[in-house]
Amino acid sequence: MPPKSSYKQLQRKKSRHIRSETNDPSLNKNSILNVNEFLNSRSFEINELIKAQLNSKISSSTRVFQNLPRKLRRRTASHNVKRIPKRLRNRALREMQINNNNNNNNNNNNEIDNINRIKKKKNLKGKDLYRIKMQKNLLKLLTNLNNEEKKILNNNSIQSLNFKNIKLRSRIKILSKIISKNSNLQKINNEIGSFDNSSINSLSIPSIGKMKFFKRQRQFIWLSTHVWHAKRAHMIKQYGFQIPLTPTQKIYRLSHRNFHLKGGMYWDKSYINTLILKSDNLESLKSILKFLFKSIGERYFQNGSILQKLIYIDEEILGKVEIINLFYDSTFNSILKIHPSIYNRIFQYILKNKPEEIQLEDNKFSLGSIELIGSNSMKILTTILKPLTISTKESDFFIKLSNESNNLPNGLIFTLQIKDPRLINKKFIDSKIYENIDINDLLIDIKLNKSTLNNEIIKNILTKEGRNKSYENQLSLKSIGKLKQTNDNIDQSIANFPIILYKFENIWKLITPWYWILPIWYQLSHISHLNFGGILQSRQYEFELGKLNFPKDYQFTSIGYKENLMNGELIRQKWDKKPKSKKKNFIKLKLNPTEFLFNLGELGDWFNCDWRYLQLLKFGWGKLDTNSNDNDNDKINIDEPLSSRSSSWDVLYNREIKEIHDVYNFIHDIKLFESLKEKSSDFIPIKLSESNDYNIPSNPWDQLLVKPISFEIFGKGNLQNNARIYAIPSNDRLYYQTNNTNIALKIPHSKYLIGFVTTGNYNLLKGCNTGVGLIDAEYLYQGSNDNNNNNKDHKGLVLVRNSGSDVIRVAKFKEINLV
Amino acid sequence: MTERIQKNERIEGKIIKHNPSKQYKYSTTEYTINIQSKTPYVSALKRASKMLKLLPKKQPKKDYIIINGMGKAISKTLSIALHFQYVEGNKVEILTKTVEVLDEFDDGNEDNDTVLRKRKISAVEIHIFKSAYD
Repeated sequence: MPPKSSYKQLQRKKSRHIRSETNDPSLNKNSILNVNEFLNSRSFEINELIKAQLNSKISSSTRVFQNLPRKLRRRTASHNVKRIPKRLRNRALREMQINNNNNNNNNNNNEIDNINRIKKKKNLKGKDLYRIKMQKNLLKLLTNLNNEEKKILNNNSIQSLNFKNIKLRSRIKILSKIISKNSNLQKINNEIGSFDNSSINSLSIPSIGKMKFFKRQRQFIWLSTHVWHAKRAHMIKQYGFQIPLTPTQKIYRLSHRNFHLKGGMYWDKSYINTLILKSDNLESLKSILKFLFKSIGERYFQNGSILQKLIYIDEEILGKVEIINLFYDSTFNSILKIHPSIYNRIFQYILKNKPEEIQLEDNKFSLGSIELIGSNSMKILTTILKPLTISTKESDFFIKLSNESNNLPNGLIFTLQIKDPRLINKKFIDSKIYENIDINDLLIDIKLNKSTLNNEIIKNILTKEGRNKSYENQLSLKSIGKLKQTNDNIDQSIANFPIILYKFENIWKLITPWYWILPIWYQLSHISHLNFGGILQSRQYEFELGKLNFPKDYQFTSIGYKENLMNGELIRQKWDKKPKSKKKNFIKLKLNPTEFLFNLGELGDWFNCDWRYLQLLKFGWGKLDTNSNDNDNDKINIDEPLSSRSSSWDVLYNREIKEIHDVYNFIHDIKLFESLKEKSSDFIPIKLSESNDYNIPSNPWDQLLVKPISFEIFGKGNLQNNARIYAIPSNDRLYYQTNNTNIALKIPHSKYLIGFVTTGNYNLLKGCNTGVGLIDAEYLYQGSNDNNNNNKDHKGLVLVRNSGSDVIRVAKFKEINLV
Repeated sequence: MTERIQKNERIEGKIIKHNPSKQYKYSTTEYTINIQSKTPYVSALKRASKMLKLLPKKQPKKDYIIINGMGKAISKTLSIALHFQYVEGNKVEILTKTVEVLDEFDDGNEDNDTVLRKRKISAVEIHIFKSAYD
């Protein structure tokens, strides 16, 4: 038998050998080809080729985890057996032993532990390393102090706490004395230090959390699942939180399947902040909500009603807010779920304008939320969330609906008191027990009688005392492990807590006290076919359904507009770094033959949706039209671009707009002027058109009214973000309608630019390229007031062109009505 | 407040149709197809024949796939069944049944609550076997 190493080489050689049929039977018969045999031998060869590829890959791998799918690979799998799935552990141990034996021959100085791993020299780690680093920093600080500062330090009482020569017991005595002096310290009722961090009529201050991690979250607060996420996702620091952006795994196609076909997806949405408006008087609550959200019907002032609305501050739209109304005893509560980018502004605004009987409770750091989507989400929820008592009405209904797929109607809401999910017996509820229940009768009953809402539980979750009480006896993971080792029958109701669970826009949403998010999260992470998501996944979900995502697609709001500029800047920086040969030359782009003399290259900013350009363009062309009408000349002919006239200026040194090139020079003037300013202005060039109205800006600081649309393009093509949207010129309508899948369509004049695509991509749900964007409302509402798109001039069609490309495509669109 | 509505009484307003109650198991996704009225006919055929090829050999072992169709989609579902019976030559079973769905009526006035009502609707369930028709 050959030695091991040469055996391996032999194997490798063998695997790289590809078998083929050299004596082809089909070719030998008097130059007549036997097609059947010929095809068979080719298919044999192709199969061999595929096999050889796989074989050479397997034979060249030396460790077992190299064959694992990406999802199961771990960073430390090469030296830590526990990171490898159980079925492969024996083999992994054997491989490690071979590896170690080889290494031992080289250096015999190292110690070897019981499973033949080499023990490295012990370095300082964790706590010890941190302590020494802190000491070093303090010493550095001390050397930099001047004499006077040192004196102050010496006189201070901190000096008396110098523990160097004091024994442990007396140290504890001194410390406990200091603690007892500060009698206002609150006692915490659990062993892991959870407490309710809410405040009334003022913004709450984030808790320090673990001292070790305090410094890292002074500006951007960690979610309670941060440590879990940081290992598995790309994080971003935004809106005052550290938020998971997207999992490190490739997940685009998988998440599409999770949304609509198999499995599911879950998010930690604790960074969406919660604000509670409380009042004993329903009328005053109604008036403040109507003040903030303009109109809300009586339907939504019932107990347990859910809705989503645009929020207004002084006629300015800030963003969208989710509102849940829940009442207990005689207190009326409105829970507002607000995006963190606009939270503080809304809070201050309500505080200023509220009547006295309304209480504002900031629950930014005291209520967290989880979102769940997918066809088996109800089943997952019922396996993890076990009601404390089954006899109550709401838990009975909850269990009865446990086997339903994601078909339950939106607006369903439960309040439940739940056992600690780490202690429960995770078993699916037997579906046979509930086979004969009429689900539809159940749903009608829930709607009529509000039987899933429990007064006590609402009180538990919406009051500070209730939330604090829920943390009573909350166990650490360690003590749960100990309990499970010693006791067979653990009392599962040691710790329990309230939750609000509701379905809105086909997503199950769960609200619970902040420190109970993590225990639920751990349980969710153990469920098969369920993946976690980040911000990009929620964007993808909304994009696939043709909805607007806040704040990215809400570019008529200040936060959305800023985000658009910021994203553009990031793309520009990437572009700048490229070598000249790899850069797309936007200036050389020839779009329309009649206008390239005065309008060079791509329209507006190349890397974002340039709303300022669009607004000034509409202003300029509006002015041009009125000027030409005044002079009784013929209508302006866009085919005759240049004249010999030089630029002229009015008294205030504004450019006079009399000919086409004036429009573009005017835009250039203003953009140059704005770029030279040190501080960019807060002016947003666009505004949402709410009551089907449109305008032509009367001056450069008049906002253009826009309307969101979603669209699909005909035929193939790759649609991208920031693509340009054109109106179809009225005299060319037939040309574009008949050639809608043609690639080489002529591009209209830049006069017909009406908007930009905020998100565009290939849509896995529709099977074609789709997008959402904003367009000039004039295109939609000019002419007839008919709601049917086909009766209008535009026939529901627009043209779309990617930034930097000269290919234009026809798309059919639908309006999106925001409320 | 809403009250229970009498059977078959006409209710004005926009109708929101809810899906029928359906129980979910992960394994069912490997052998069931639900046909909607907007499902393209050919892609449904392709999906069904692919599913027939890849029927689970382990537990739960199945030798047929299930195709469901309801209301307006019944005719399309039946034509898929006939295609498999006559063109492909598979054994096909056709079961008829009644499904209960929920209708929600919104009268457009936000001050009034929406109304829920049950409705019965006919449906077909088709079993297409892997084996040939005997």
